[in-house]
Amino acid sequence: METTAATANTSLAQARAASSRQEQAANRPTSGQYLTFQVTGQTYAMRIAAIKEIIEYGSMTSIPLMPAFIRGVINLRGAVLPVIDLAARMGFARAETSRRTCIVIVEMNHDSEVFEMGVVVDGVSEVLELPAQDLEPPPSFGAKVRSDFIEAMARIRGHFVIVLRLEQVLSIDEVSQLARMDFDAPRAQ
Amino acid sequence: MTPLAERTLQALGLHTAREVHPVGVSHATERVTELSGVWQRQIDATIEHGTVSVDELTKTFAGIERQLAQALELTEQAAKGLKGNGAMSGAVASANARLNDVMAMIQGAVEANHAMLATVTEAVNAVRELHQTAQSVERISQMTTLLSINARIEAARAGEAGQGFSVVADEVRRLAAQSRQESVTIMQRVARIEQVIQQAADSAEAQRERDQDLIARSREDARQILSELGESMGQVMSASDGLCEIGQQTRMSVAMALVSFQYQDRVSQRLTHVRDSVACFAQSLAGGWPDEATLAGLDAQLLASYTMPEEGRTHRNEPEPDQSGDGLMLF
Repeated sequence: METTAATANTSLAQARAASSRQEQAANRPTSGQYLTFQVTGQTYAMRIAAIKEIIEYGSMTSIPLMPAFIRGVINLRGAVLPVIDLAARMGFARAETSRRTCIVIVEMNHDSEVFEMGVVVDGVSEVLELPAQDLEPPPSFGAKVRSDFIEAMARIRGHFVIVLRLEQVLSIDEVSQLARMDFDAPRAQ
Repeated sequence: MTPLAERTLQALGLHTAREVHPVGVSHATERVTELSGVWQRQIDATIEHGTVSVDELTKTFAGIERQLAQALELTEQAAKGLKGNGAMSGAVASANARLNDVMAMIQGAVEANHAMLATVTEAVNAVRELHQTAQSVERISQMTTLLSINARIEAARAGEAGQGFSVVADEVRRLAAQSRQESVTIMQRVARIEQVIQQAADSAEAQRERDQDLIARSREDARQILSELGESMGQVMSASDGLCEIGQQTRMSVAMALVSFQYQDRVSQRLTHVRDSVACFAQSLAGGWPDEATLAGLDAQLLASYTMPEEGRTHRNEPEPDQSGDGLMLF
């Protein structure tokens, strides 16, 4: 039993390690097109694969009893889209809107369903083709943001730019969980 | 004995004819003849002395009168000049007019400044509009950038087919970035121009305020100076009026004094008549002491020689009639 258990444990550990390696390989930054944008005065990048379009920041309908990073909803050609405040989501203060403020419309897959949502950024710069050699794996610590948000570190014109892992930043599970916690918190008091 | 003979004898120190000693009558006659010569000479000398002195006095007074007349004329001319459209009040009026001209000129300059200020304000507005235009250019470039990024994303989604379009989108983005850069430059320059123009406008405004203050003060100063000048002029004019009046009065007094000097003629006449009579008396002594008839003749002759009524009155020892109301009697 013990042996079996030990073997099982070992195999579980091996399986985890393998899975981690697979994950590592899968998450190895690959070349592609990236959008650079600004949040809280710093430049970030994201893959354009998930991006549908970018619109100017317009009228926003706030939703009460939501965490700060849920900015509200917008009407995009008749569809109601939730909008995430990226700065607030990353632990900074809510973004101040300006003439350059934009909403990046992204498509997220969750449980084989496609969700669209908006992401508020301070401004968008350009779409870049980044080769693999300009992309470094994320550091284990020391960055300003949660490291599981980071997909890679891109080297753009001599500066390191954080490439955000969008599926983590905008994880439907986490977002909805956070929203629920935030919603529950006032009732608990 | 006639009163004349009596007075003559009294004058001679012979109180009465009766006191004349019969002895040495011829001697006495000679003495009287000699004395009458002395009388005539003394009277002549008196007449001459008086005449000369009074002539001198008359000349001096006539000179004074002429000088007074000249002084009066000058004063009157000056007074005339001060009054009405005369030189001095005219000078004040023209000073006033010229000051007003200067004021008008300053006012004109201020108005020109005002017009300049308006122009500058207009320029400020124009520059502001330019700034807005540059802003809208920047806005368009921003929208174009967004459009190009969206095009790029769309091209990426299209895969291979979208590659050409992706290049176009990138070019559009570059152009948008360029035009954005240009609009930023324009805005910077416009801001600089706006700043300069605003400074000009501010200084023009400050100048306008200073000018208005200056005009107000100048006007007040000019008004004060003119009123002080006018006051002084009034004083001078009234003083000159007074001078004229006093001068006229003095001139009258001098004229009256000159008339009074003519008493010398009357004194001379009286003395001449007395001297002639004394001469006649001395002649009549040639044939000894004159008899009653001769003396009466002398008396009549003297009476007849008078030209002035008061001589006759003096002769007859009558009192002078009161002449205070009659004014001046010349001859």
